[in-house]
Amino acid sequence: MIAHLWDRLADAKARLDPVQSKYRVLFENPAEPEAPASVLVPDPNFMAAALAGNVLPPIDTYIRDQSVPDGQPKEHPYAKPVGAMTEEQAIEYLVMKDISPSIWRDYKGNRTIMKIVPVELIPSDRSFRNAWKINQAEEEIAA
Amino acid sequence: MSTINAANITDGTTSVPTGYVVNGSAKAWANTPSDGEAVNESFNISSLTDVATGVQRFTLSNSMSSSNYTAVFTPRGNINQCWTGTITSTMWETANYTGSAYGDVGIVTIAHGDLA
Repeated sequence: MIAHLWDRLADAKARLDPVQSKYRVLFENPAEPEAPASVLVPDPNFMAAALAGNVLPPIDTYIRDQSVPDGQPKEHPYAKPVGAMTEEQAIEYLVMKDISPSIWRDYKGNRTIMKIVPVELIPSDRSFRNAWKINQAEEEIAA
Repeated sequence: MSTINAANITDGTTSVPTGYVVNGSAKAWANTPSDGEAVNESFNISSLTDVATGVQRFTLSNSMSSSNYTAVFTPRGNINQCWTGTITSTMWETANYTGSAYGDVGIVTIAHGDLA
């Protein structure tokens, strides 16, 4: 019998050290062109679980569950967990899980609306935070 | 991982169904800094998104059964107004307002309700 995901997460938190990712994901919502770029920060306990393996369910269960109506049974808590991932694989998993498919899969425009960047490239000065956009220059990947 | 199956928990005098304990536990929580650029500590959170100044989004690893759960938070600083914004079964947003503009402030947040 497969333990519920929440129980596996509790077990993982008890035995694994948190892992601070060296990556961040910048993304813009094409449906809100005036909104600033968002910065996705991977959770350290989630990263630890992803890197250790045998905790998180297959990503396709999360994607299928996105179309399950409220109150209906969801698949991901009961799915057989996947094995260990590299940090890069874990970030890709997180992009597919936590960012809308309209951004990472369906967008067909010319503008770059998502980038995975090293954490050092996120500006520390937040004076103009609400004006942040993804730099469209190929050679520069800072926000 | 070991599992204890029990219908009730007792201290020898008072007995309560284990469902009270399980259903009453926080299903997710997090502690973040003001810039939303890290997660200090957490449980059942897959990511924090710095949406804009003063707006942070928490996404669950194990989602809730519906959007009708309780997600509350407290800003860890002096702020004029704060509220929980968008809530879905997979995430919730927190917003902090100084009275004239959105303001960055650290967050402690917690979610109670039924898991998926």
